Amino acid sequence: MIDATQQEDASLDRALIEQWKAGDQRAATSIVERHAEALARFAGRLGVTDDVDEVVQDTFIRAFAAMDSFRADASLRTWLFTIERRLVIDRRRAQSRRGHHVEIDDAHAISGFDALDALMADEAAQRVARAMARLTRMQRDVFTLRVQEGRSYKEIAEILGSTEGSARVHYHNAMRAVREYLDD
Amino acid sequence: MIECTTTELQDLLPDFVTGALDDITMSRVTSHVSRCQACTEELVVLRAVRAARPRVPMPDVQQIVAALPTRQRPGRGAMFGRSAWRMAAALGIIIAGGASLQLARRGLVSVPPVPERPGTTDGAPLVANTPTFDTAETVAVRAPIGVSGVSMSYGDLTDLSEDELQRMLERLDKWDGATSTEPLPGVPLSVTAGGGIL
Repeated sequence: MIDATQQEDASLDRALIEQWKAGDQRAATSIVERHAEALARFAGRLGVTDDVDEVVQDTFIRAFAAMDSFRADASLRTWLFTIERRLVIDRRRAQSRRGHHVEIDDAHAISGFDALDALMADEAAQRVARAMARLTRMQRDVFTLRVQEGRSYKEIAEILGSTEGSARVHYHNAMRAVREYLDD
Repeated sequence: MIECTTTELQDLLPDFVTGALDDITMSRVTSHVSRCQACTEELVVLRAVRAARPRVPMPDVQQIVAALPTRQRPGRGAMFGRSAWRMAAALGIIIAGGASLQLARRGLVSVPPVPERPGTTDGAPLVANTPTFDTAETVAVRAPIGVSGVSMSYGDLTDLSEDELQRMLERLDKWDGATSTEPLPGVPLSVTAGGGIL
C-alpha cells in the first residue's frame, strides 16, 4: 500500500552499504549525500543550533563504525535519526556535567526551533512554525517526523524510543493543536 | 471541528502529502478526500506544514566522508587470516583428542616380543613389562619363538588349576610390600595350560 518510493530508497541504501562493505569508498559518499540534509534538519529540530555540521558528521561516524549491526530490513534514515537523537542527548548530558547551563526540556527545543524561523522565507511558513512551537516536545518531534520526513508510526517509535500507539496519539493531538492555531 | 469516520484513510494523509503511496491507494485517498470535509481541511494543514520544512545548508559531504572509518577491501589475506588459523588449530585439537579417546577405549597394550630366557622349565619364559591386572580383556600377544599357536591372557583366573593358583599365591606372598601400581621387574611369568600367564 505504502512506500513504492521508500522501498526503492531502502533497497538503494542496502546496495550502497554492501558496496561500502566491499571496500568501495564512493558508496560512502553516496550514502552521506542522500541523508546529510535530512540529518541537519532533524538536528535543528532537536535544538542543535551552533554545531549542526559536527553533529551530522559524528552521527555518520557512529553509524559507519557500527554498520555491521544495521538490520537489513530497517530503514537507514530511521536508523540515522535514532543515532543522531542519542548523540544529541549524550552531548547535552556531557555539557551539563562540565557545568554548562544546558536546557534539555521543551523550552530549549522551542528556542532551537525558533532559530529555524530565520530560514523560512514566507509568512505562512513562519505561522506554521509558531503553531508548532506551541506543541510539547514529543508532539512536535512526532509531528515533524510524520509530516515533514514521511516516517511511519513504527519508525517514529523506534527513533524516539516510544511505542507506535503513543506516537499515533501524539500525532493526532499535535494535528488538532496546529489546526486550531491556524484556524484562529 | 468535523471528524472523519474513515480513520484508515485519514491515517494515510501524511503519506499522501509526501507522495509515498502506490497508485491504487493514492486513488482511494483522493476519492475519499473529495467527499470528506475533515480530511480536506487536514490536508490543507499538512501541505502547509510540509511546505514549511526548514531549509538547512547542506553539510560538507567531503569533510564528513574524510572523517569516516575506512573499510578494507576483502582479499586473499582476509580469507586465510586469523579465523582460518583458529579453525585449523581447533580441528587439530579435535583430531588429537578423538584419537586419544579411541585408544583409551580400546585399552590395547602393545607388549613387545619378549626374549627367551635361558634356564626356564616351560620354554616360554616372559617378563611382564606392563601391569595389566585391572583389565579383564584378553590381549593377544605375539607368541615367543618355539611356542607358536599358544595364546596368552592376563588376569583370567578361571583358567588356572588348583595347583597353579596355589603357586601364584605363594609367589605373591614373596612380593609382599611391593606397591600394586608399580611394575614388578624381573619376576618371571610362565604360560599356563589354559593360556594364562603365571
